Amino acid sequence: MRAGRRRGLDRALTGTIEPGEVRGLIAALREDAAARASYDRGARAMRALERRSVAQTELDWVERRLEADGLLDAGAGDRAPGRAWSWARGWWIGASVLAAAAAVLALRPPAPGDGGDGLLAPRGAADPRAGWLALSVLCDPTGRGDVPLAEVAGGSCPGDGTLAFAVRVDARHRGAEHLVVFGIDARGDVQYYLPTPDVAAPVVARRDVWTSLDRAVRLPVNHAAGRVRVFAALLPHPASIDDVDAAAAVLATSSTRRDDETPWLDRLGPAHPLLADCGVAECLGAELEFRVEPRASRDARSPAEAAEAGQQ
Amino acid sequence: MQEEPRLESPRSPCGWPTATLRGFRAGDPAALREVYRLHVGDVTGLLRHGFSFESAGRAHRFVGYDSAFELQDALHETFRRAFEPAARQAFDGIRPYTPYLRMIARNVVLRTFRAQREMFPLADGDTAEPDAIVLVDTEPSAEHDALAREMQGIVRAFLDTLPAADRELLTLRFVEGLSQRDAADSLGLGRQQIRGREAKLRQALLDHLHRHDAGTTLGATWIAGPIAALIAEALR
Repeated sequence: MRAGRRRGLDRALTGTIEPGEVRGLIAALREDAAARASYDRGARAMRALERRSVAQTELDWVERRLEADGLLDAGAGDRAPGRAWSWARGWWIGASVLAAAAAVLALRPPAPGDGGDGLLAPRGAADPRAGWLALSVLCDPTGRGDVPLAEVAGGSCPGDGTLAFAVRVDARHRGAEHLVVFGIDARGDVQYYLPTPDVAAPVVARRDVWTSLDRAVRLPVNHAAGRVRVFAALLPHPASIDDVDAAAAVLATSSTRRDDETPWLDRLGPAHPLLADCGVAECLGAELEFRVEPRASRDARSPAEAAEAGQQ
Repeated sequence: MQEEPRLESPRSPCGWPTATLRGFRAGDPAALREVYRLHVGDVTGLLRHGFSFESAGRAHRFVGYDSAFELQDALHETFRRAFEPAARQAFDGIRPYTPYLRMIARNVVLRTFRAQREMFPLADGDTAEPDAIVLVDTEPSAEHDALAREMQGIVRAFLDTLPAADRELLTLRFVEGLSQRDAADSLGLGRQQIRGREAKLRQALLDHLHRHDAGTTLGATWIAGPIAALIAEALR
């Protein structure tokens, strides 16, 4: 093998290849079986060095090839990134499939250190567990599940839309796992998301991944136009509807201003039945709000039909 | 009238930062790079270690690519397809991306499988076909194990030649699994210094390997690889 080609192969294997060399080297490898064998042997050495079945430099090499295709911006990436970036950050990979064919608006309480994002109140910023329970409310603006995901500015969902939910629990959490999610709409009515009178609340055992909640809520059924506050918590026991009602009664009159630093669980007070045993198993809370826009179209169905559809 | 604040989640339901999802859909190269880095490990595992599938009512097993070049080719093709505009638009951002990407990777492999079936059609009544078709003949074998042990020996011999400081760096990086940044912090160096030293050590290992192979009689311990590849090339 020519010395020049060998040096090119070595640069590919050590992550020091120049962008302009990539295409030529790939062509050479395709044509030259000896070069491929030499390259494979070098890659084996890198694998043995890194004690991995595939070396990091191999993944970097593919990145260089994608740069050469014009898909990635050449030269913007690290030439030899550590392996931690792909493996350690894989904590969220594998978030479960969202049952609702919803799309779009994702709302979540700001994580500690986030600058806040509008309507989301940075509650409990001093609490080291702030943000350990993260809630996403998703909006399918058409309610038909036929639109691709797109960000919606303004923090609203059309009155004809459908809501779906996802939660994520920080890996450091060792406490309660029974989820409750409910809302209070502009009229002060309670919206039972999970549990409902017919659907039990799930246990959220997974950590550091987004977990979809098998629940779709059609806004035309029960939600009035205007602000909706959504409250989520992990509790030691499954919440009852009565407990949710009692909590909503307290929260309906409480402040939700941005500068309110009190987490909603604390606003209920320690003796609240929803928080039973929270002193034994650590409970987490999350809160957000959004707006339901006035409906663009009127549903031709009767309220009873609409209500039935809304419980799917 | 006060403007309504924007509501935008830091993370999309699929787990990506919202800005990444937006950039991905728009084909922004920086976002595509981030997606590649976030997901390449999952697809690599599939292509390296294989998977089972059915075709024409038969069970098959793809045992994974052992050849670095073939694996990287499949990996590259997977992401190239995944980053096409239609594929990007087809991803809704709600469901996790990994299964979507793995499906593309499987299709890349199965396209090869179908091509091989066309090249080597089965004769009617042939009952000798195994239940499992191996696309790449790299199942664990005595030869494979011997090659792996031989390479480990070469790397160990190389490590023995290094000064303590270099061995410490390699231990931090590849035994303890620290990132370059963490290794830099641990050693009181800058990340760029770590990156540069690591590249030099990799090159030193390759130089050691080249010397080893040149010193081996006809490179006999590994020449079987190139010869096999040359034969395969001639038979194409």
